[in-house]
Amino acid sequence: MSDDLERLFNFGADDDSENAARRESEAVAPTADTVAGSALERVPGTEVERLPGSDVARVPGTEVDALIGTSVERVPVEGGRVARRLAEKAELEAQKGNKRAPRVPKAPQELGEGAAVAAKPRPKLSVVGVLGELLITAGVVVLMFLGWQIWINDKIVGNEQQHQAAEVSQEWDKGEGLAPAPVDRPDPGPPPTMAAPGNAEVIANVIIPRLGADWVRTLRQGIGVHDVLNQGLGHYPDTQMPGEVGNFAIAGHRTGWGAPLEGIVNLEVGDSIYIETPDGWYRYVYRSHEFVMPTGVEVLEAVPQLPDGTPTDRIITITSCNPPLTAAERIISYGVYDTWYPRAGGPPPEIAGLVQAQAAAAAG
Amino acid sequence: MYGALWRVLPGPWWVRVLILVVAVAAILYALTFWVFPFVNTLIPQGDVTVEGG
Repeated sequence: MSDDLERLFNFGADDDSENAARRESEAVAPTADTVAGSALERVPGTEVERLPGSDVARVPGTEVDALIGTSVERVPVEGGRVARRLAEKAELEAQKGNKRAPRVPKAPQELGEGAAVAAKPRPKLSVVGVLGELLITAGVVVLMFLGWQIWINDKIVGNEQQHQAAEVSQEWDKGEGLAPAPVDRPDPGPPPTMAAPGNAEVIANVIIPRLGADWVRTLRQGIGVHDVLNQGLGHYPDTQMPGEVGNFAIAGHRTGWGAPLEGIVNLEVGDSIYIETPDGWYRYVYRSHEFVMPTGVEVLEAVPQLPDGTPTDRIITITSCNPPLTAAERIISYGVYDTWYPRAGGPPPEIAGLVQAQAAAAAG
Repeated sequence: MYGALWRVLPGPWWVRVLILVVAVAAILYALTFWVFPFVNTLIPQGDVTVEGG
């Protein structure tokens, strides 16, 4: 351990490894005799003794000579302090029955004069070592990808989708003014309906205040993953259009690709679901959740779950995946039509702030 | 591998650290804006619709 530390803290000093190797081999040359025959002097401020006027020093507690500034393995002298301590430790470990007793290094005398300085060879690149490091790196990258998918990309894509919705809303705005519609207003009558557009064309903006004060996503025709759902929400093409009697069914991601419906499970009875079209805003009121298998197409019937039913209500059905991050089941959210706000009359009071902010963002 | 990389890099330790910081930043940028978006398109995900089966 101390060798490692020594090496670690010396890494700046022996950056020129070729040079260091040469110096180390030179350091071997002075023998113990030479040193013993000369008077050693103390290097000021250290415990190191050295040959007068040279860079060769005696490593404390050993009979090893080395160049000052190089790293040497500490080799204990037989009968010396370090060796004695190691031997005691080994004995102690042996008594405990520990098989991994520390190895007592051989004294330099057994290796012959000058062989004492043994710079440990640097560990070479091994196949297992490189493979291990590559695998660890790959694991870290995969974890980073998951984090990116859930936290970073959802934010980026979500912002894009929101911006897109603001632009669409601005396109539909004919400059009728953004003052919110009065709370007490005459019955606007049955809502207008629109013809189904072509695949992936924008139908509406969906605004659900419960999912966030600035939450708005575009709704496109179709349920294609790449051309529709990755851009926002999609409308099941075989179901009714907004405001029509029957079932107006839409789908959206709950995780990934902006996760528009991440908070869908938080909807509470009575929450508003606004559908903004060129004509104005349709208000649906959330009623209940239902959990079905991915094959539960009956939720898309004109009267959900009643294939033979005769529709009299205007229903909205939102499908997403459940549980989050998986696709084992589907979470279904039902709502019923409440009223609509003609564009000329101004946006619904509840979302007037959002509509105004959108207009400001699109203008700015 | 990383040990070898450290030894191959020139200069004193703080220059090496600087080089590595810049390299890591470049790798993170490439992953975030090029590699991950591409991989994301290959991963099947987001079955959110009900379909007859």
